Amino acid sequence: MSFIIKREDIPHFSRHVISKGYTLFAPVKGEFKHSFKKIAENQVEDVSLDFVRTTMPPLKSLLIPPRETLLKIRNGKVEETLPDAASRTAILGVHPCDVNAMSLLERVYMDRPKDPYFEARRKSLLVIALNCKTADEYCFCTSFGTGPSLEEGFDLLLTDLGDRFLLETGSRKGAELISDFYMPRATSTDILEKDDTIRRVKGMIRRHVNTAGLQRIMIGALYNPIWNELAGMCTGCGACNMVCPTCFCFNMTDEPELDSGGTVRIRTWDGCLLWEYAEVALGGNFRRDLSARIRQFVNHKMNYWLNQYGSLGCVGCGRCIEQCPAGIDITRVVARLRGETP
Amino acid sequence: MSNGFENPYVPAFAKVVEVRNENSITKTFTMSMLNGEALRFRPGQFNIVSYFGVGESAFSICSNPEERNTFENTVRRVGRVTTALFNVKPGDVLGIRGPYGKPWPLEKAAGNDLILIAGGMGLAPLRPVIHYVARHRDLYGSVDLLYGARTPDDMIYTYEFESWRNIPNMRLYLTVDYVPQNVKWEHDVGVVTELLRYVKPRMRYTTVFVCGPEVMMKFTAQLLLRMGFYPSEVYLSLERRMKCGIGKCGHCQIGYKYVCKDGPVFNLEEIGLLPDVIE
Repeated sequence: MSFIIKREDIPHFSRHVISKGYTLFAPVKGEFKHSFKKIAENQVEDVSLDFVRTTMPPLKSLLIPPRETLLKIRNGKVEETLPDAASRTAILGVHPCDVNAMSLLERVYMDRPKDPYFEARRKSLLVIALNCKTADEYCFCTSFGTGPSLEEGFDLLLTDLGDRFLLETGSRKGAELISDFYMPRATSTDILEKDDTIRRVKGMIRRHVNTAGLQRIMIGALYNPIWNELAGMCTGCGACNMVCPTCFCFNMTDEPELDSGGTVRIRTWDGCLLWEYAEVALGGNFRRDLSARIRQFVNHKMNYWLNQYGSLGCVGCGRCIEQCPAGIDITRVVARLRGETP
Repeated sequence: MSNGFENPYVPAFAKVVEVRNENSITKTFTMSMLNGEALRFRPGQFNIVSYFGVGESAFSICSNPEERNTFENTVRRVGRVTTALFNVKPGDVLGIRGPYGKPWPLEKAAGNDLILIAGGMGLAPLRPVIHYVARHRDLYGSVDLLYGARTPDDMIYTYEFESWRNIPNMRLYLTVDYVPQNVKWEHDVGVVTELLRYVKPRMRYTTVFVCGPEVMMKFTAQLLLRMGFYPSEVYLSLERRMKCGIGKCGHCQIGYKYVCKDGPVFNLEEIGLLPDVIE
């Protein structure tokens, strides 16, 4: 079912979502960029759907928090600190690349044995996606079929048609949410206008990864000098890992719980660009060289994911390129390995 | 379990029933599960031991797989968790997750001769193989154990060597890198690969299991291939940084393989083309 929601009604719609018992997260314009923020009922006017790409904190924080308590251990008992499965969280304004990235995270975390922390958060999540109405120089979702529009993976889907949004339902949960929110039905003109918008955005995307036969090329390039060359530029800061919506690695550590004398076991994000990532006891490190760590990052996305989870591990959101302090561009790395650029 | 979700991160509790000193920096902990259940595992699998408040580490389960009441982990003091574990005494309680991982292919190797090659602590995941073979001696042909360590004192399970030598058609060859002054040593001196000269493998009827430091496994694998073994006949047990043990945390990846769930035992065919391995 498709409906039309007027642009000025977005705050009203946001309030409706909150009134249904959801904790709402939506993009808010910051000083330079948009970022996802928790929206209280009196902040619905701040919701802004005019953005290309959100910045920190990454949306994946809502599924895998950067720091999360897994267990509390005290007096010989282990207490699980699972998220409340009955809680309801809605994210409004998720672009297709990020929706697809969440689906990729599901493949990792819902693969057996399931991660119960992720599962609880995913199940309590309602996704109100937003097709893209523009793209910038970093976008390359069309290379992976992960944007600029969405066919599945959403509960509700918005498309910006200027003075109004087209709203499509993608799940029963989504349909239920709007069952008592009055909107006029969309017409075939609205649908055609949506198609025009998507076509226009596709034409704006200038960056590409040629994925044809890519895995064989990547395997053949494992010992290519390019990894050493990139190591000369890379600072090993791990920003790419942090902003990447499909990077899922984590560390687990114990900390004392001061009030009870017990222990909390926490997990925190980790990243393969960081020196400690593959370190073992006695100073052993299986990826001591930065070149091996960059190779791991690029190959995991563009090669290993295919064997592990059945698709490439990049959605073309462009954040790793935008955020890299050394100007490393994964699309150029692939193009170089394919012999497509000098 | 709360919320109806099975939680793979929750450790079970095990009581330490015995602590044996292997050498000055290595101890073997005999444990039994507090819930009274057996920790059923297959030779080559590992578990993750918690010292609450310090953290978790992955260890090979090194005991007889058919011993149902207890299981053992051998721990060398090399880092934070292992240093904490070094203070553990009988009666103390530790957390246990697992067993995890793919075991040695003992069914597939049935009927074959076995060559077991271990370096230092690498003997730990092979000890269950030796116990298993001793109990099911008719399932395998000859068994040769080639074991190397830095010094005689670095060897583990030395108190069992005599009984291993008494297993029919099993031979034990030992070597060390060097012998300190005033230490008696009647065996070889040199790297473990040199012990292969004592072995006359029946080609195509022999399976090789190797575990040791990465560099030792590299040279051993190269020599075995030169001797005429197929990559599919040589199995290695790999070590990587591991946190979750269930293919989520990402750390143990080698190429597209997760050491924790696709390994830790791999044959050379599986890992031959992968990077960051035995380079």
